Amino acid sequence: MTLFRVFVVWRIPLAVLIGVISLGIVLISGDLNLQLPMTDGPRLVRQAIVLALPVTLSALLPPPLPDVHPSLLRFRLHHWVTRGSFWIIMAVVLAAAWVGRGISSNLILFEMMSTLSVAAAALFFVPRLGVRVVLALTGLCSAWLLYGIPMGEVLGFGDLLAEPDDPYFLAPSAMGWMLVSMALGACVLATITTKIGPS
Amino acid sequence: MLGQIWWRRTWWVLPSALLMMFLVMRNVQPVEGVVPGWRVSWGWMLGVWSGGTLLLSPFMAAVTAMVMIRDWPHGVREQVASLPRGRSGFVHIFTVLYLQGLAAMLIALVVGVVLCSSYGAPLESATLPWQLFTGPVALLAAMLLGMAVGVVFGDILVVPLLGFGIFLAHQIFYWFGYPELFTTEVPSWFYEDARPKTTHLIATIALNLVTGTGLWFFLNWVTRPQGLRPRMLLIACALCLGGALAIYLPWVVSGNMDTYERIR
Repeated sequence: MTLFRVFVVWRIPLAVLIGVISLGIVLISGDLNLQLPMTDGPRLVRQAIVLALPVTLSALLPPPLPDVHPSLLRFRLHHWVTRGSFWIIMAVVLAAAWVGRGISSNLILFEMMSTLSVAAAALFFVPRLGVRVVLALTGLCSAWLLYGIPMGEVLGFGDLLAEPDDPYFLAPSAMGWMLVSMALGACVLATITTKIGPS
Repeated sequence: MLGQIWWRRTWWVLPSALLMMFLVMRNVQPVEGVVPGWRVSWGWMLGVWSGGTLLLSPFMAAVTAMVMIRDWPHGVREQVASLPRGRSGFVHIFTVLYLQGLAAMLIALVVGVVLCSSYGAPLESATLPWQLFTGPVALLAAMLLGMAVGVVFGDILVVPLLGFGIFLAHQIFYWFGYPELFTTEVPSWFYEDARPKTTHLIATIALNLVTGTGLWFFLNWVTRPQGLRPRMLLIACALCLGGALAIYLPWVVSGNMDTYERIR
């Protein structure tokens, strides 16, 4: 079996395709308003993409033959290749979403916390509990798009709807930074500790 | 009992659907400092109630696709399709899931009715009976779409794509008064002298019903064994989807923006 064929079975090309489409949407229409109802401010296409991407990519993480996967020769390689491609695609799309757009630092921090928390949950739970987690995260992320910003302000990310040059602008508190650090740590743990060998 | 096995496998859908309804119905502007504000107007309450489909429809569509992919996959369907009642599985799955979605809507409606009644809200602010049907038929159409997607694609990747897709598609014509497919508008305030427009509600119900019927014909066609699929079902499906377009287009052509009418 050629390496390319192996990658097709592991659905790497599909993950790349999802990444390319997400990147294109972020670059072309990232700052468009989604016009979500019941929100206290604009929700942008970029924000929807950075929340939906880890959930969508996580659907590609489970191995093709989960029952016999640990006994296969390339099971360790599968783990690191799928997680590696997950993070490479995420990094490219997130960089395009956040860098050079003039977004306030507290809004970026809040979106980092949201996206990294979802990514950690997806990486940790989807390979263990399966597609139900994908479903739960889909519903959760949709609700978070509607109600996340007020929650972010409560959690200590400052005024998420104000412009940085606003005289009443509130910078993120230490709690905000701590939550982002915790989400990042959870991502590292979820990537490393995923069960890859026979138990 | 009909589809008992499916009740046991999908019992978690009802509490999840209730949570989705609660998330929408809870988050509306307070009136006189009290949440939920919709208790002061029956029309507003019913609008928010059917607007629960904003989260409920994408979730239930994704659930339906997931159950089809995991529990009634292509291989199983092929094997049992030629047996007596071999194709009843997808009817049972749909019935069990849709009844759970409806039960969640019904519980939310009872809560809304109790709150509106206790406040003494004026009943003429509601457009009855049409407001009672928009949400359930939107849910019906969304779940049939989920089932069709689950049957055709059979890959769990469609679960998040369907969930996010239906949720975000709600916004495409948000500021226009066109009939609404799969999810309905969530009013964030109310008018004292106006109520939801009857023709708009009827068009929304018709659009979802016709789309759902088309998807049902398609499901009936695609779940039969190859070589035994009547072409008439496909033609009926195409006619229904054409009918949906015929309901939708006149509103677009006329540039309609109104979803409310004055109470006479």
